Amino acid sequence: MHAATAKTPDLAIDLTGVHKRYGKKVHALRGVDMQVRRGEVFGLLGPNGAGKSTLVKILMTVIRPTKCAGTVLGDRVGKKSTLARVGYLPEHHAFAGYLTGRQVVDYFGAMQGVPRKARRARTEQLLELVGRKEWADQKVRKYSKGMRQRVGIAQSLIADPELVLLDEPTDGVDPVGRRDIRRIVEHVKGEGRTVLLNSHLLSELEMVCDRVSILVKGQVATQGSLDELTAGDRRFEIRCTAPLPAAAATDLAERVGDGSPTSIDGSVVRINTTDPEAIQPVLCRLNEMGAVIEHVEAKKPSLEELFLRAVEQPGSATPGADRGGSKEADS
Amino acid sequence: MISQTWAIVVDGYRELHAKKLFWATMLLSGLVVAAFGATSINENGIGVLGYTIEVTLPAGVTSELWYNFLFLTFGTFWITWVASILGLITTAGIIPDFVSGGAIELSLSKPISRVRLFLTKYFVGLLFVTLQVSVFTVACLLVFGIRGGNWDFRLLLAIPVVVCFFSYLHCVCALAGVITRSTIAALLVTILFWFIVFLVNAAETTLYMQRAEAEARSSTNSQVADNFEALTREQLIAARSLEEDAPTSTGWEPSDDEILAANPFIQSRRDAAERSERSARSITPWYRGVRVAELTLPKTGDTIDLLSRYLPTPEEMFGLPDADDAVVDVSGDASDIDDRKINNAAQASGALAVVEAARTRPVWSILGTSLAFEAVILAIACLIFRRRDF
Repeated sequence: MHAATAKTPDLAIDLTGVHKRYGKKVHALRGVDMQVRRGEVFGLLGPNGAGKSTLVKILMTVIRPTKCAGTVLGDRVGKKSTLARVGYLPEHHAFAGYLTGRQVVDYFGAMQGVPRKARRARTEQLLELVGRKEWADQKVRKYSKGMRQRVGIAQSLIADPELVLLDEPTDGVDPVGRRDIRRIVEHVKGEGRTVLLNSHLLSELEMVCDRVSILVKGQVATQGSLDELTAGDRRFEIRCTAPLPAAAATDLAERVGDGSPTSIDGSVVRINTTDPEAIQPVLCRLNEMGAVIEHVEAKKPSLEELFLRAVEQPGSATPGADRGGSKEADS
Repeated sequence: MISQTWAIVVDGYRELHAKKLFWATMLLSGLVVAAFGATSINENGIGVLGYTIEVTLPAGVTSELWYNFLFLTFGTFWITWVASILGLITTAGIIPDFVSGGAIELSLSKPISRVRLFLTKYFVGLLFVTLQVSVFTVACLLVFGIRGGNWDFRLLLAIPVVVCFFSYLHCVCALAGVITRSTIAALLVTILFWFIVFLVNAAETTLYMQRAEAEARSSTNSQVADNFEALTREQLIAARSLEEDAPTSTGWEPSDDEILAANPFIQSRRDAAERSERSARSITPWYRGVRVAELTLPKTGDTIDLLSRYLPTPEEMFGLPDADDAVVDVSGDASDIDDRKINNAAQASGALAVVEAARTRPVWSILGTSLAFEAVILAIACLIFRRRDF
């Protein structure tokens, strides 16, 4: 067992310094450190070619790492027997067209080593869960992309896994399908399983992920919970009906309870604080100044903003987040 | 562990079941068996659907021999050539499809070692030919038994023999499939390989026959020369004793030059023997080279020919050379012996040598070297599959 396991039993995935080289020129992963806690939904983000799928494939033994230290469910990465406890939906998966949906789930259940009786019962449950029971005996070749994704998710759960890796599960799925898949992920999380989601759809991830890791050029640019990642950029915005004089900025800044930086942009006052009490004196002062307050909003950057920042300014670490190097679970 | 293997086997069957070519081949096999069943032999010739084709069959041809003949000629041709080519076309895609993007990730992400996964998939690929040959052979057995009373269960040997033969090609197909990930490429490489094996086998047989012919020609010419020399010597001694003025020494012997001068035919036979011997010597290194290549490669033809060792057949129907044709009577006067006679005998001798070599080659050698080749190819394919990133 890896040394990290004893120290971090609450980690489903604990990776340190994962490297993958293809020949001498392509360095797909450049020392990825990543920790996924048990029971959480973890989002793996990154632009095309960042190495997300490569990382997932390394975890699933589809690709051999050039260098890797770490554990999956407490066992070293690459240990085959561990995969009996891991469910996986690959990106661009292709099920044999001659199989029915039920046969696909049953086949991969057998490959996971699930006994026949348990497999049958669980197949029914899962087809029900993904809403494909009425299509279960149709050949997969007749399925739409969304239906295939649902069957793919069902097969990933057949072995009652502790950890589920879903690579682009909403790829090619319509909005209703995406919502359904999001609900399935929430259901899976509710059962106490750990889910690693690799997706381009940031809004989807934002809704279901507890923590995310943004991978850029084969390295973790930032990693943490959404609250942690956005902590440094949270602010209150007070929108008035008319532009405020720029000179009022100093006056208003002095009244902010916690002394957070304040700025005025036309009719909008921005106060970089997360404390609602701290802005109360400012609201009073604005009333005294005769300004009409139209709207007060607690703003935080979206995941998309965080993502774009990480991609466009890979060196800028987000306050409150770690860059994959520190062991949060250790602390 | 068993459930994984069983799942792959069942999946393999489903894959075959979904292929139209599998059922088309099965149907055609059924027609071939039906055609066998439609024939019979009687005192007037060959019966076909109640009609009789009046032909003279070799003496002693029974129903049992007739059906074995049908099976060994048309039956083995069907299952080793037509059904095997259809089998190759059907199964060539199994490994490339298996290792293609989208499918392989799921299989590799399961708790099963890559080597076991690959080998199981490989053996499942042999299901096609196993099912086809089993159905064909059992159907033949039933038809022959019911129609001719020939319940010769040795026919069932065709199942392992043909599966073995097919596996030699299937392993190459699997290796090409792993490397290229292309069904067409795998199929082409396999057919090319099969052609090379065929060429090497043909070259080995031809060179072996040519060498045996040359040796037989050399030996016959030497015997003829020796015989003529003895005859000429006797004639010269007799002629000498009749000459009145000759010294009547009883121990007189003509010299070699005198003998050769008396009968130039002796020298020409000796020259022919030497030419043939030179020819045999020059063939030998080529034969050895081809033999090494043949030993290295799988023995597709020899493997199928194993069937004829165990199934009794009327040899006359196969047109096998007669051993008497290979012998030239050099005793007596031998004045009627000429090149044509010697060449005919040498050719018969060469053909007999080939048949004899094919029949006496040890089974372990044929199967052992072929299966060793298959094991090496599979080991290479496993190594590539095990180390490759998908």
